[in-house]
Amino acid sequence: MKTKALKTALPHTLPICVGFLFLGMSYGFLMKSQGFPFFYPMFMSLFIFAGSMELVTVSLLLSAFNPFYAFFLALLNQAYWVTGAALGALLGYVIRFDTTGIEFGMTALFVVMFLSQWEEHKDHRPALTGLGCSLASLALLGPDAFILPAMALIILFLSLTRLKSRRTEAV
Amino acid sequence: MTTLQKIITILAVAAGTMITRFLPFLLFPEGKAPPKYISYLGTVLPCAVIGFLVVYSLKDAVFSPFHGLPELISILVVFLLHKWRKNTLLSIGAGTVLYMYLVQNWFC
Repeated sequence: MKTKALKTALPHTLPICVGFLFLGMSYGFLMKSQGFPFFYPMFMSLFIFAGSMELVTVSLLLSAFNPFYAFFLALLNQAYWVTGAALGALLGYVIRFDTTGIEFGMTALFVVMFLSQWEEHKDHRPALTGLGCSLASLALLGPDAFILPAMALIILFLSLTRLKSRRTEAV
Repeated sequence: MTTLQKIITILAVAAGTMITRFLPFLLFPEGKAPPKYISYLGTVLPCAVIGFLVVYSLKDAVFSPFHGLPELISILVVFLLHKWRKNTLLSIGAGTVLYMYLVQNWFC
């Protein structure tokens, strides 16, 4: 059961592999440029692995309940991140190319994930709710203060949608 | 900060992360079905969160002097490329390389 779980988990982690390698590398480069020796980003990534919290949660929620699958999912994702971070830090000693803009890898990853979700689900309301609430909060509150209100709004509107559909069901 | 202080800080962040991960499993024990509301959120939240993440990753770009134009161009390319080839590696990689090129040569 464990090998099958690993084989099932692996293809699902490939999109994240690309994103994390880019992002991990940019993180490694950054730490190197700040003067940290390479094992800092490597061990920090090993123990913390917090930047991807949402990504891990999202992929776990999308999958069927299978603890070994979830375990390998998380493990592989972390392996990619650690590899990327270590690689970036090590390469920072060797490569001298301008890495400005490499963090766009994360944005590109989210866009691709959004597109995949859009095509998989017929009901686009949750996706649009997420997009709309976030944009509205950003516009009203600015980049530094919009995160929590955006999340609150998302929960609010998703709950309202559920209430509305339950009421129409009852009728 | 001394090295020891750095290590303690890192451990503190790790502890905080772990608490947020284990909390749902502590609050909703196995065997007992979670409330329907939570299950409902479990179905709709992933889609909404990804929408949020797209906006989050662009939060500073919109207010930059270029108003997110290099981002917009790169996202358009990612979108078209993904629709055409459906290859995640290609879409992310090409989009990122394009963005880096734009931001280093045209939008600086």
